[in-house]
Amino acid sequence: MTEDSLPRSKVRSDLTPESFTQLLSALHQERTQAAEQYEHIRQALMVYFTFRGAFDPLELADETINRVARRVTEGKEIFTQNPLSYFYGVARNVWREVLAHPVTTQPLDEAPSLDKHHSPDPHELLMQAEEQRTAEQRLRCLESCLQRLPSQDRDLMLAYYQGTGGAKIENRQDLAARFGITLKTLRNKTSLLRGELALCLHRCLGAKER
Amino acid sequence: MFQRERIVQYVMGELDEAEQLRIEEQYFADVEFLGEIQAVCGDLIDAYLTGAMPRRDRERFEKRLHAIPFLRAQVETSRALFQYAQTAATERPEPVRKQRVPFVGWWASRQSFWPRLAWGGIICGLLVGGVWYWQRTRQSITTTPSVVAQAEATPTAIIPPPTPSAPVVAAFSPDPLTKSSVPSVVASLLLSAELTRSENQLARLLIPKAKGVVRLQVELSAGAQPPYEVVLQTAQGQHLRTWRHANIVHSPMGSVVALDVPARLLPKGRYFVALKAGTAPLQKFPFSVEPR
Repeated sequence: MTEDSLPRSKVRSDLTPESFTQLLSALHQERTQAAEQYEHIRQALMVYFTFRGAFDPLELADETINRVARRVTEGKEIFTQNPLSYFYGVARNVWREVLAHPVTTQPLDEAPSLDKHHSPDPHELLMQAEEQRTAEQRLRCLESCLQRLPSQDRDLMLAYYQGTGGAKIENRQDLAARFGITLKTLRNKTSLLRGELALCLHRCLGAKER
Repeated sequence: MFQRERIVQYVMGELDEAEQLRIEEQYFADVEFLGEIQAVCGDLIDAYLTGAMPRRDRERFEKRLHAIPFLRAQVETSRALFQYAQTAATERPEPVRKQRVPFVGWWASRQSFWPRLAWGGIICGLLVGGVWYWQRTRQSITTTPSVVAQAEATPTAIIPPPTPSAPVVAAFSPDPLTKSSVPSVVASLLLSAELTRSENQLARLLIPKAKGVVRLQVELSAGAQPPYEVVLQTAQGQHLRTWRHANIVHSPMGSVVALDVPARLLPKGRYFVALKAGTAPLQKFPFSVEPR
């Protein structure tokens, strides 16, 4: 199955509330701990597929989770020792399937030339206009994605990205002090939130393209 | 190998398959390690966008960006966050306002015909005045080096954005953080190394209250060689912006690098632009900003 031919409609609809509950129960008897473990798995899958070079890591992460959930629903004993290793194994299979079939290639942006002497030509102006349109769309999507975050997380993200250079560092130190957390925790928290926002933007921009 | 360096190599795609598998197994088993990978990735993106990444690392990272679509998406997200947060900080007391019009949609937000027509007229006037002013300024630079070049935000003092009729077109690729900014020039200032200015003769930029972009034009001295790097700082040394990868167009009258800066980033005060061209010594161009 190629990345493109992965059943898009099935990927997200497969995970019914019942199968999701069963999956959580299989991960841990305590619901809170099961939810934490699920979040870890989802993040790990995202990182795995991102750095393997997947065009849509979210889709492949969902596909992996769906496959495992399906086996759990079928009553198979799958988690002998470490459930996370099992997810990793399934993820590798999913990625092998992607690699085994031709994948639609994405056009690459041209790296900027360092000393190109030229006047802007019509094509270049067109590209600039397109770039500008995408940037505007991205900002609109970002605004809508930020609105979906809890207000504290939203404030944190906006404050975290203020300032540059020395001012940025000072700002982040103040921010950590204000929230009563260490810089490391602040860094981890914002990188998770940025990942969530990137996913939201990815979907929002994808929806606008269609 | 230090943990951080190992993670950087993983993000950059420079590990062999066996080591990559080891890292993957580790972050599937250890949530702390997974968090560290995400955080290091965030640090690299920040450094890339704010110009804090050394050139060699920057090249490595850009190669990786071309290969990893979702990493590119994360960079774009961070870029948008930086822009949005900076705008939010200067425009509003609260971090997020529900009905906010994004800065880049400024022109698009002028929906009705008559305001557009009026703005169009103003901009046409500025273009004509700008061409005239530009030619006058260039002549005065070549004939009287001691003249202080200054541009004020009046129709005759504004240098237009590059147009086919403009004698000098300086296309300058902005730094990653500002790549998507939209130029709508409300004031412009020429900064020239040939002009000697004393403390009380600083080039003065008068900025109107309108939203938009200020164009700083830095004159390249004869024989200046790429690569170019331009940094905008306050007189107190606070870094505001860095531009790299200049595409300079030369005309018989000389060459200029145009830097577009959102007007809201330049409150009243003193600033300087530092230009590094090839191996030549760093040149500094001081100027002051005053509200009009």
